[in-house]
Amino acid sequence: MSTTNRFASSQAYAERNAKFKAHIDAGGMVEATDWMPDEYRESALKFIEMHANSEIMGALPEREWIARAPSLRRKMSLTAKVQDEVGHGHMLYRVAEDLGKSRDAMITDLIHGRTKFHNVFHYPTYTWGDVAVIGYLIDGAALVTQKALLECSYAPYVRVLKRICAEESLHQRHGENLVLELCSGTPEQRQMFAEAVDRWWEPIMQFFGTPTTGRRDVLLEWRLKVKSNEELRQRFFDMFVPKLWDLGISVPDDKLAYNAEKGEWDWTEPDWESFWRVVKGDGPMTETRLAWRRWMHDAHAWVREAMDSPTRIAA
Amino acid sequence: MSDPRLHLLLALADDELIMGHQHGHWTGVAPHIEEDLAFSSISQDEIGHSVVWYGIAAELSGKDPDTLALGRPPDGYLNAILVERPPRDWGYTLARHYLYDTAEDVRLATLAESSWTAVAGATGAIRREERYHLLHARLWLDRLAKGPVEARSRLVDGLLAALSEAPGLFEALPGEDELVAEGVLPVTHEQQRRRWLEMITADLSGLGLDHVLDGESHHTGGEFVPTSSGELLTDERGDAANGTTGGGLGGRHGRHSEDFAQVWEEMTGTYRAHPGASW
Repeated sequence: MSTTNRFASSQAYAERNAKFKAHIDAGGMVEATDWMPDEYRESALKFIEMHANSEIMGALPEREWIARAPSLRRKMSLTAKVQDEVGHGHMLYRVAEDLGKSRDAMITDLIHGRTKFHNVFHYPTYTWGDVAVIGYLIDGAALVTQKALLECSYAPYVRVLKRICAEESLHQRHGENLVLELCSGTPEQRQMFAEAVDRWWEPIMQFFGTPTTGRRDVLLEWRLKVKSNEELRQRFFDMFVPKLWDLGISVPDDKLAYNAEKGEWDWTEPDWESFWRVVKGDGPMTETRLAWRRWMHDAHAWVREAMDSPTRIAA
Repeated sequence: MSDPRLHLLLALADDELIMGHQHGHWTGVAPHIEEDLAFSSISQDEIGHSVVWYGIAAELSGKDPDTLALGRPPDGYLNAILVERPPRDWGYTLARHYLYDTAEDVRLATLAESSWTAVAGATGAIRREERYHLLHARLWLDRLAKGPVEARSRLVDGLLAALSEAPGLFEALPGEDELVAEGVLPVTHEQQRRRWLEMITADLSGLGLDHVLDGESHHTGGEFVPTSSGELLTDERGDAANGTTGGGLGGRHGRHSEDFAQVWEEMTGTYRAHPGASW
């Protein structure tokens, strides 16, 4: 009878899977304690883990400027901002943990280069202009993406995203404020920002991903995301390109223009080869940043032990 | 800079700014995510407090707070040497955090009684935040002191290194007699130092750590030989004898350690490179 049992159980899986899919397609939500297909669980975990990793790695390029901030006010606000990003990583790792991977395992995989994080956090920063671009355009790009995710099917992620989006909106305003100060400041300050936009434009275009892949996107199927790469990129153009032009800042893409006939922006595709190299761990700062994190992690293993250890020395 | 009142404010403000600056080096890279968040908050608080003191100093000197904070030459800074040291490891960071915040507690309690109302008034809001710093510092002191062995040992090393320079926090200010006579400084720094020493002696004794006050680590020295019954061979006691008195002085007169050059370079570089710019 064992073959029948096996047959029966796989039938059951297929049935449950189909029922789950119908629930998702009808706009249903999923909780951590619900039954879910393995494919859903693994996809949700990969996606949220990558998001958490990106928040943690995204703290590094900006934190370098806390010590070098040009005023007391900026020193405090940049600290608060990076603190928020670390806090987002903290919340997201907890959501990911409930899907079945410990925070420790996720941190270990990250620092050994076994899991991924967003391409934009693999690059160096050179001036305060980079801080402004990260705060304005990169946080802006992330906000466009994250707002769209509020409609995804995994309820614990949506709850955390609501808080993240609220804080990211503040960061965005903070970023805009930095940009306005630079653009209305000295010629050097303005130049600083213009050069940073030139440096970051291609990585930002890559950040949204390729327009079409021709391959099946499992995340879209499970409604772990709801908008395509191109829809999000177009929304980013709508929001930011006119503002940059108003400030007299040009964007390094000669083709970039709104095409009224098509109802969308024409733009130049970036070098996708370099995108793949970077996200697979061969970016200009990938190894430096991961090696530093590994070193910090190893050097402070004793602190984690002290926090977890039942060992207690009598005073 | 000959005004003793300005000296007092700049010593307070510079300590807070540089301490906050050093704590900020953990933002994004602390050993634990929860601690990363906590330390970033403490760092912001300290810098926020420096803004309060620079604000009063600005009224007195006619220079704006950013110019005071980021626009002075290295020998114009009056912070204690203790706060300009790099964060080193978590053991040193926590030990310094504990010693600094206990010293702050004594200092602010003193200034709350100052005859200078602007200063006495400013202490209220600052002390409300500092209370949490002290709770945080004591929690960690207790946790590390109670093990595991490596944690306690690193805490002891951190305490020894930080204690040797902590007296600099209570170095007499130029013109201190005048400040005391006017009641601006209700008691001298030497008296404050003694109050602080009582406070930390009570904490450290409670954890069996009071020997660090004498500059003794009581670490196991020597080489362990894995013979049948084991041998621990040593020629001397394993103490790194650090004096705990008289160290870390000079800061209140603008005399700093070799580490300060780097702090100053990093902290003021962007500001100095763009004179007159607004950020």
